[in-house]
Amino acid sequence: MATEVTLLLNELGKNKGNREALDELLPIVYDELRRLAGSFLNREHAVSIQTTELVHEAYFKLTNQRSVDWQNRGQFFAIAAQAMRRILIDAARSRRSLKRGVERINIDDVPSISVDVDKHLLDLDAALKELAEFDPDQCRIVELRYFGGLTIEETAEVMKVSPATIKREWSIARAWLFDRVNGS
Amino acid sequence: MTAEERSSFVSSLPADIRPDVIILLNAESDAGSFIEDPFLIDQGSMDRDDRSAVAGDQIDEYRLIEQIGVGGMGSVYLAEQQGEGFSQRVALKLIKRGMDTSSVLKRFLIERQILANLEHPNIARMLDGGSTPDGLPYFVMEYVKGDSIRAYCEAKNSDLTSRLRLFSKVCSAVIYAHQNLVVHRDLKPSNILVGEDGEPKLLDFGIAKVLQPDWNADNDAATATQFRVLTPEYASPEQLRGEATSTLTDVYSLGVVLYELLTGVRPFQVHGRDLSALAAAISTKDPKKPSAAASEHDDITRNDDKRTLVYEAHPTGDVPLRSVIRTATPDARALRGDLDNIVMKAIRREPERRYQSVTELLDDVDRYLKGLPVKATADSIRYRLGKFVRRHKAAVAASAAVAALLIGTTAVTGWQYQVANAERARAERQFNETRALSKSVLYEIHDAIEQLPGSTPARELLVSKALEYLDRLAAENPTDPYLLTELADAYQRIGDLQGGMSRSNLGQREKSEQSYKRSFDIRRSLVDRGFTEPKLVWKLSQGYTKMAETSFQNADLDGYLENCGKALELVVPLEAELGSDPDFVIDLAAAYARFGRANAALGKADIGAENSRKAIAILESEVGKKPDHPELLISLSTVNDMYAEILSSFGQKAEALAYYQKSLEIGKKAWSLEPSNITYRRDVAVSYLYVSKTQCEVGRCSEAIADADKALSMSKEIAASDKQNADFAAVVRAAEENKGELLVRSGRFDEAIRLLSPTLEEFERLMSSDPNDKLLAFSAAAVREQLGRAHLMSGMKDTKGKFVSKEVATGCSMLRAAFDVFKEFRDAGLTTGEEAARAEVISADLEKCTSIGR
Repeated sequence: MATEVTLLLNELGKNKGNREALDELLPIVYDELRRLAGSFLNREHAVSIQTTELVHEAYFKLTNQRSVDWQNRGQFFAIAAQAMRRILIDAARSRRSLKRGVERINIDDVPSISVDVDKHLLDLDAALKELAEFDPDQCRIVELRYFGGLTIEETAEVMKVSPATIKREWSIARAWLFDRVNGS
Repeated sequence: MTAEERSSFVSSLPADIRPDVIILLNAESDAGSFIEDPFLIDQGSMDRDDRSAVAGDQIDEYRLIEQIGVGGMGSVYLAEQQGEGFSQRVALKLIKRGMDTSSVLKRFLIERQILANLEHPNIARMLDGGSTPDGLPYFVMEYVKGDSIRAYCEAKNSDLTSRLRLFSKVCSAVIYAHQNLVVHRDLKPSNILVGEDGEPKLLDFGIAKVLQPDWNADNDAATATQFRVLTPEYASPEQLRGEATSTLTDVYSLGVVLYELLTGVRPFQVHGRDLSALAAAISTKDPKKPSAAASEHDDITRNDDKRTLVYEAHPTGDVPLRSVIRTATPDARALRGDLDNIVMKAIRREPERRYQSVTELLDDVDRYLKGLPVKATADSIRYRLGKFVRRHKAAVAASAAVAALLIGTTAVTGWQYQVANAERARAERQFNETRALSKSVLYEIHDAIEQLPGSTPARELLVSKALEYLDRLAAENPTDPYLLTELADAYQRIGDLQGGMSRSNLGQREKSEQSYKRSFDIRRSLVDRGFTEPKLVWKLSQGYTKMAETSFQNADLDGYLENCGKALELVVPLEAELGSDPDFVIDLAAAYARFGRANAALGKADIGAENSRKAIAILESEVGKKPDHPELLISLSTVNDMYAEILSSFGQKAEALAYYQKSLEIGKKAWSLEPSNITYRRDVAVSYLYVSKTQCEVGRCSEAIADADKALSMSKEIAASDKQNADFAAVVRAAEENKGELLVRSGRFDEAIRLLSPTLEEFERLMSSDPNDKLLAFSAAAVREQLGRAHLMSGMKDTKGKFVSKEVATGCSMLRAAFDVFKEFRDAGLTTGEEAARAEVISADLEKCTSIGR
C-alpha cells in the first residue's frame, strides 16, 4: 500500500492533471483517515483530535516516509484535506437523514450538540462550493487550513506561493465565508 | 493581519475595489474565531458504527429487547432478566468501547453495595453490573418509562408552580443520596425521567463516579476523559477543570436543570463542538439571568408563532374566565427577582458561593412556593439602595465601644480563668510576641493614623499584615478563654476595618464578613462552654450585631431582625452589672435602635418607633450625666437619625425633620469637642444633607438650599483631604444630587444643569470602570432624572418665552434613560416604597415629552 501511494503521488507530482492517479488516491486516503479517526477516538482518554494530527498520521502510514519529501507531502496534504472534508460532510449528511427516520431518546444530549456541528459543516460546505466557483484557490486554502489542519507555511508550500499571500487570501476567504454562513 | 499590514494592503489596491475589500476586512474582524482553528473531530462528528450489541443479544442473564437510547457514553437497551420462574424488565446500559473495563468494574464493585442500598421513590434502583464477553462494562438499572423532565414539562405545558414542585422532588432525591454519601455528578434533564404518574425518577446515580473517579482520588485518570463522562453543559466549573467533585457539584447541575426548566435554554450553549470554548465560557463568563434568557427565548418562540392558547377555567364552572397566551416556558416576568436569585446562587462559579447543600436550595424553592422571602439575593442591593447614611452611622457606637474596651487590656476576669491557668501560662509565652505585634498594629498604629487625611492605603497594608498575624495565632488552635477572647476581638476589629458598616472602612465587604463570622464563632463557643461572665455575654451580643449587619448588607431582612433580636436579648439583662460603663450604655441603646429599625424595615412601624424612642431615652439620660462625652453625643445623634428615618419612611415628614434637626445639633456639638475627627465631620455633613432633603419634602425647598450648600461644601472639604476614600466621594455626589434636586424644585434649572452635568460625567466614569455596581447605576439614574428634568423644563420655559427644542430633546432622552433604569430595578424587585415609585414619577414628565412630540 505504502509503495502504491508513493508511486501515485510521484505520478501526480509529474503530471498535475493526472486524473487517474487522483481518482485512485482519494478513496485510499479517505478510508485511511476514516479508520485512523475511528481508532483514535476509541482509544482510552481520547476526546477529540484535530485534523492536523490525523492528516500527518495518515501521511506516515500511507507513504511510510520518514524523510520529508515536500513534493509528495504537499500533494498528499491537498488530497487529504479534500478527503477529510468529504468524510465530515458525509457523516453530517448521514446523521441528518438518520434523524429524520428514527426517533431515538437522546440519553446524554450529545446529538443536540452534533446538530450544531452538522449544520455548521453543511453550511460551510455549501459556501465553499460557491467560493470555488469564482476563486478556486481560496477554496483550496480553506480546505487545507481547516480540513487538512495545515499551517500558513505548509499551505504556502503546497500552493507554491508566499506565506504572506496565503495569509491575505485566507483572511479574505474566512471573512467571505463567515459573511456567507452567518450573514444575510 | 495587523493594522499596519491592513492599511498598506488596502492602499495597494486599485481604488475601485477598495470599498469591497474594506467591507470584507471588517467582516474579518467580525469573523472572530470562525474556522480559525482546524476542525476538531470527536465522537459526534464521525459516523457511529458501534455495532457491539443488537436487539436479541443475550448478555449474561439479560436478553436485549430494543435499544432505547444512544449517547457518548454508550447505549441503553430495554432488556429482560430471566430468572428461575420470573422475568423482569430492566434497563441495561452498555458502555462503549474505549473505557478501561477492568478499572471501571473494580470501581463498580466498590460502589455497588452503596448504590444498591439507595432506596428512594424518586431514584431508579441500580440492580447489577458486569461485563460482556467482548469486555464492555454494563450496568443494569430499574427500567423507567417516561420522558425527560424537560420534555415532560413542555408536553404538559406545565405552569411555573408545577415545574417547581417537580424540581423539589428531584432535590429531595438528591438530598437522600447525599445523605448516603453518593454524589450524582451527572445530573441533567435526560437523567431525570418523569413517568405517567407524574413522579420524577433519577437515573444513573453513582455511575459517573464509577466511570470517572476524581482526579485526585486516582492520579492515573487523565482529566481529558472527563468530557466523555460528563455532559459539558451541565458540568460544574470545578468538574471541567478536572478537580475533585462534591455535593456542591450536584447543586450546580441542579441549578442548570432548574434554569433550563424555567427558561427553555441552558445558561451556556455550545456552538459547534468547541468544548474548550464552552469550558472557558463556563469558567469565566456569567450567564444571563433566567428572566433575561427567558424573555429572549420567548421572543424567539413568539416569532416562530408557537404560541398556544390556554383557557383557565373558572374554579366553579367550565366557563373560560380569561384567556392567556402561554409559551412552552413560564413567563419571563415571573422569574425576575427571587427565582433569578435562586438559580444564579445555585450556579455560581465558586462552589463556596453557591448554596452549601441541596437542602438549602430546596429550602429556598419551598420558601418561594410558600410566598416567603428567599435567602438568595442578587448582589444584595435592595437595601443598600436606601439612604446610604444607614451603612455608616448605624454601628458607630458598637465598634467604638469595642475598641475602647479592648485597649484597656484586661477584658475578662473571673473564676473561669483559674481553671485554664496552666495552659494559659504556656500559651501566653508562645503567643505573646505575635499578639503584641498584631495588637499594636490593629489598635495603636491604626487608630493613630485613621483620622489622618489620606491614610487609606497605609491602613490597607496594616490590616492585611495584622490578619496574617492573627491567622498564625488561630492556627495554633488555642483553647484558653483569655486568648480566644482576644482573638475574637481582633477578628471583629479586622472586620470593622475591612468593610464594616461603620467607620472609614476599606470596602472589602466579603473579607469583612469572614472576619466577623470567625469572631462570632469563637464567642458563641465560649459562651456555650459555660463562660457566661457578663463581659463575655456582652461580646457575644456584639457578635450577633455584626452578624445582623452582614444579613442587612445581604438584604436578608429576616436574618437581620433575628440577629438584632438575639443581640438585644443578651444585652438587656446585663444593665444591672455593666450600666455604669458609658460604652455599655451606648451599646444597649444601639441594640434597641437596631432592633427597632429591623422591625420598621419589615413594615412594623409601631415596634420600630417604640424601640427607637427607648434608645433615645437611654442615651439622653446618659448625656445628662456626662454632657461632654463626644462618643455619647455622636451616638445620640445617630439614634435620632434612625428614628427620623423610620418616621420619614412611614410618611411622617414633618416629625422626621424635627429629629433630623435634633441629630444635626447634637452631631455639631460632638464635632466641636473633637474638631480633628474627620468621621464626626462627615456625619455632620450627612446630617445637613438629610435636614435639607426633608425640608424640601415638607414643601420648603428654597429654604433648604442653604443647608444643602453646607452639606456640599463640607463634604467637598472632607473628600479633598482624603482622595482615596470612596465613601467621602460618594457623600459629595449625594450632596450634589440633593442640591441639584432642590434647584430643580425651586425652578432654578440653569443652575441645576451647571451643577449636575459634571456629576453625571463623574458617575459615567465610575460606571465604566465598574459596570456591575448596581448602587452606582441607580444613583446615576437619579442624577440623570434631575438633570433631564432641568433640561426639559428650561427648554419649555425659557426665560425669553422661547421654546428651545434642543434642550427639550436632551431632557426627554435623559428622562427616558432614567426611567428605563428605575423600571428595571422595580421590575426586578430591587427597590421598594418611594424608590420603587420613581419610574411612575418620571412617566408624568415623559408624557410632556410625548405631548410635544419628543
